[in-house]
Amino acid sequence: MNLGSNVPAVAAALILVGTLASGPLALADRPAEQTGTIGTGSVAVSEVRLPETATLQQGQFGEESYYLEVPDATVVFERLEGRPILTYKLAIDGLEYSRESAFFLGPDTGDRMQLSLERDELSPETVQNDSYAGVLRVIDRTGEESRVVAERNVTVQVRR
Amino acid sequence: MSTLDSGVAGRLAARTEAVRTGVWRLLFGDRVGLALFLCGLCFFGLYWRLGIYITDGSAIANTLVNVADGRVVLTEVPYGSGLEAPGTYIGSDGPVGRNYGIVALAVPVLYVLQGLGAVLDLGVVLIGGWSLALLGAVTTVGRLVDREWVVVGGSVAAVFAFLANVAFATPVAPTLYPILALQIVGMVAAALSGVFCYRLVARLHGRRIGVAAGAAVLVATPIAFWAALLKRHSFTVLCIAAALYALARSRTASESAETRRFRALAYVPVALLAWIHAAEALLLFVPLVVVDFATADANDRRTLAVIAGTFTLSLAPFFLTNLLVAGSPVEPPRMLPSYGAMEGLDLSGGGGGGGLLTTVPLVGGLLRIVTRFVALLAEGAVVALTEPGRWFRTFLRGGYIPAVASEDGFQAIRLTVLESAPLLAGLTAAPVAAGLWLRERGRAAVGSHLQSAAGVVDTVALATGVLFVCLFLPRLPLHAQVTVRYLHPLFLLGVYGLARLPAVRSAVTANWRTTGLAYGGTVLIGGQLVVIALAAIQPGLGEAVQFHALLALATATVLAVWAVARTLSETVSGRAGAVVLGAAAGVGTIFVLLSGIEYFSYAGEFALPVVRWFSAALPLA
Repeated sequence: MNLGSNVPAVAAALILVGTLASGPLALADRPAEQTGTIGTGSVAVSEVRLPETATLQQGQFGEESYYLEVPDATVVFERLEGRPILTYKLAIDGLEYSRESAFFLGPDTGDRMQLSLERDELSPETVQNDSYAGVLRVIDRTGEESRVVAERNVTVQVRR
Repeated sequence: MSTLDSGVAGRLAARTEAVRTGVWRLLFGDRVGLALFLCGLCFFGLYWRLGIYITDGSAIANTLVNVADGRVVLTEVPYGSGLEAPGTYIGSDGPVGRNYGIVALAVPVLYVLQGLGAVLDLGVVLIGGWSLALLGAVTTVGRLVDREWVVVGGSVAAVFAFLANVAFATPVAPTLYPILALQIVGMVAAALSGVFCYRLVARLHGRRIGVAAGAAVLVATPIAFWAALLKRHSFTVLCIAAALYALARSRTASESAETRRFRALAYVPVALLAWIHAAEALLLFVPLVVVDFATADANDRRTLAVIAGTFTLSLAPFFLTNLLVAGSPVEPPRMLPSYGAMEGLDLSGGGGGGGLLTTVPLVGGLLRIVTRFVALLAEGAVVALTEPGRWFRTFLRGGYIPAVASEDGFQAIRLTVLESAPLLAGLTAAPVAAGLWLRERGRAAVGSHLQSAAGVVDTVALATGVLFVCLFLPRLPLHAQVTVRYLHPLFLLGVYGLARLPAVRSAVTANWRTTGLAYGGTVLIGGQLVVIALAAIQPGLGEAVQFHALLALATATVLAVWAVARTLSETVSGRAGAVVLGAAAGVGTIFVLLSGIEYFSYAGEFALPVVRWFSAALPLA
């Protein structure tokens, strides 16, 4: 038996059979519907830890933009029902800037959660001062009306 | 099967076999070509993201949706900002798209995907297709190098890759099918570009350097970056590569009938390119027709008739599409007024009266196109000669350019030609080599060299490259380019130029193994070092891209120094050159892989789920 000529044929057959089997298997493997609509329910928070400072760090290697980096916030839940939404927001009035990130809570959420804001870029022309005053907020956006859960003034330090 | 071998079945089988070998020889040439093709597809598949990367992709996907339903006019526009998506024009009967040539190729692929998706899990089908390509690649390569362990080990690896990916497969939404169809034809075009580069170089200088050149195009240049990203550039490169190859064949042919056939064939890709992007086709057509007729042994009536007939016939789809879209056979979509914001090459001369050209007689229309085109090129030539800053920012070092970055989300995510393909630094030695050649052989030898196969291809390649620069340089540097994609053909032409340099050629062919080891080492070990360094720095997107830019420039400098030194003196080590060339190619590959898997992973879900896991596991932001 010539191994070199048979093995590829067997391999091809295996791959083809696997592909063809995907049709029936996919039908059997439909994910279950999720219960509850996102944005309904309620959340009660016992503790929120917000960072004191954020940074605007100028890029390296020829990238001259400033990277805005905000440390994570930690939220400890007292009670959680349904699928509420929390957002983590930074506003810097001096730059007319704000950025918000949403977190969808549900039965799988533990008793605490880290809220993070992704790194953002600001153009070198806009960043002039050595520091800016900003406000960090955690906001409950479940339902029609939003409610500020926690708020803290932060210093956004510029590093060049 | 022998029991079925009656007369009819036998003839049918023979006919099918003939067609099969015909297509095979037309596309791949030989088994090396096939191996390169399959390896290229597997490589592109590693970072294939199912989705639209830049907004221009929406218009072509919208066009495909409508053409697949049998309309050139866009009535259904599911992608991007609908009719406002850049690349949508006002045709004679309503809004139309562009790149109809690509769309036409994608239609059958879309039908196949829809058929398969109806009965199978398309996510698994894509994984199966990729695994089969891998299986084909390892089997072909293993048999070429006559190593059974490659065949056996590779086959096992292909099955393992299939199972591992299927375990994490997720369903693919049917709304993605048109995008996938376009991505697949794009990857095939990019892979074939490598194949034709191999065939072209192999025809002039032998298989070994041919394989190196073909592989370099596939894995070490931005051709790999853009392979699956719904842009026309892969097709432009393929058409140029195919035209140059046919031209080379016409000059190396032994019989006059063969010469005639390949001369005629050289114009087919030009016509197909016109169907995709008419202006770019002109940039290829003009040098080709001038050089071809000036250097041919015979331009008799029969040859003229065959060439003109073939060219006209291959232009039929282009004329027909224009007629349907714009109402005039010589008015391609890009000359129509734009529906939304303008992007790309504006040949319409200020927009407005879309019906104007159609009312002008055909000759008048053609004349206007030619005048406008020559004016654009002349403007480009003036810019090229008077604005060295633009050259520097386009070819050497880009960095942060406020006007460009502001359109790229304030990120310096734009590389120059050299930063995206450090391998091209070897071309620094080209003027030196040309000078030495002239001093050695004298001016009298130039004439006969220009008549030779290599000389003819060199001239067309150089002229096409210069024309592309003239047309696009005035708009560069520009946002949403990443790797100066407007000058995409330069990467193919540059690799061809490298393979033509005696210093590079001798270094690679004499140190075959060293080149391969240097390349593999750079990608596997150097790639890990890059990941470790970046994980320590925690760069943003722009920083990461500029890190690669600086790395590429460092490698490019070493390569340029070596290439010039080696050209000047034979005592400079060829082996060292093999190492530097391998490393420069490797640095190009590292950028393609990391950008696809990590930096621009947001372009869509990975076709191979294992890569999704790998992307998440990489410690880069």
